[in-house]
Amino acid sequence: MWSRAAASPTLRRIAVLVLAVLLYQGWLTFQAVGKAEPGLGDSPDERGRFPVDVVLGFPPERYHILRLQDHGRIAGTDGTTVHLRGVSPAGVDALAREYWIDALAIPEEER
Amino acid sequence: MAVRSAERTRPPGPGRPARAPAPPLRRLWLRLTRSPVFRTLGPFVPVVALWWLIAELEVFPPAFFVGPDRVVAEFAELLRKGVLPGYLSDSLERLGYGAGFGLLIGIPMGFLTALSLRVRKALWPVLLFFQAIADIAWLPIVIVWFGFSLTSVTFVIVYTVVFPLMLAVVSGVEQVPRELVLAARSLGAGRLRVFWEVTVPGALPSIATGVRTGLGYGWRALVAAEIIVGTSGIGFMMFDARRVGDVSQVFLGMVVLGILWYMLDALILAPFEKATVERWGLVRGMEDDG
Repeated sequence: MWSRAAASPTLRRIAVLVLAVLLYQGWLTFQAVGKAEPGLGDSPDERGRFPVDVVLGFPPERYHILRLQDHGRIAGTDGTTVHLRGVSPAGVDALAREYWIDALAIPEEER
Repeated sequence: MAVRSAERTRPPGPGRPARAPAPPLRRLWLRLTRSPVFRTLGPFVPVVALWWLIAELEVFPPAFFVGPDRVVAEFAELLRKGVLPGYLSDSLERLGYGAGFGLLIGIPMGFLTALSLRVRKALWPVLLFFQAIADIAWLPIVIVWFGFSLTSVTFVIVYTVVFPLMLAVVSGVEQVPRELVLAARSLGAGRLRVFWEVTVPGALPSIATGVRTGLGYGWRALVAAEIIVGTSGIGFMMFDARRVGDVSQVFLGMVVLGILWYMLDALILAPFEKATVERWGLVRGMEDDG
């Protein structure tokens, strides 16, 4: 059965597609490593949430603001940095997986 | 195939002139036309060339019509900013939900309509009535009911997929030779066994065609719904770009839509339909042979 499946060009193409998706997901996980600044989230509020400065390599557009709103409240933008409030630890993990985010930093007023 | 290769390798016999070798250009052309990559991408070469030429000659102002180079640059920029993968995954997720629910509703409803005379009599006029109402005509009321949400988009896709699928199932069941059903019954098969072993396989080629057609309609409905309802997705991206006057993003959206559908059809739908017809289309063949 496996040899028949391997001989099918369609199944081979689908397998390549699945492999490409898996590699992309693997790369997203790999590039997320080290993106969050050490000490980020060390002083959370009573709900376990904390502010994060999201550093992009370009000025944020509508798409980026909408995506960032999924993980916290937008408290303003400053050039290529978006100030997020009320981010959870899971939110930091999700943000780090976005490859268009360069870094997740501790806001100046929290240092 | 074997006959053809034998002909090609046959030495010139007495009285038959030796065939002159084909000119190099013709040989190159023959080799190219045998390549699957060329057969897939080749037809697009003149289209892209014409597109480029029109853009370079500035037949239309650059603010209204951009060339492939601008679209490629826009593609790279949107990829860098993560906009294109994000919108693309949103669109595919919606299509997945819509198609999934559409298949879950359309196939059982189709069989029910095809197999029960009462249900068919009751449903047929309604089916034809709703088939005449375009998916986009539902959008105003769907927005009132569900707001600008994923539910609205999914509703429209499901609606678009269900009706062609139901009609395809009914047509497929009608194509199953009556003699086969009677033969199975006379051999002692119960209703359920006749359904699973005669009716369903016999109807599968038509269902496969229905799935392909339904998903094609669903894909178009998705883009239309995203343009009107969406806050994300490729359709939304195109419409948002129009709002800010960025024609290259609109062109890019169109190219992405075409490529995606081509990939979906060529990778999954067309082979599924072909395999189904090859495997289960025999039912029809048996009848024709008989």
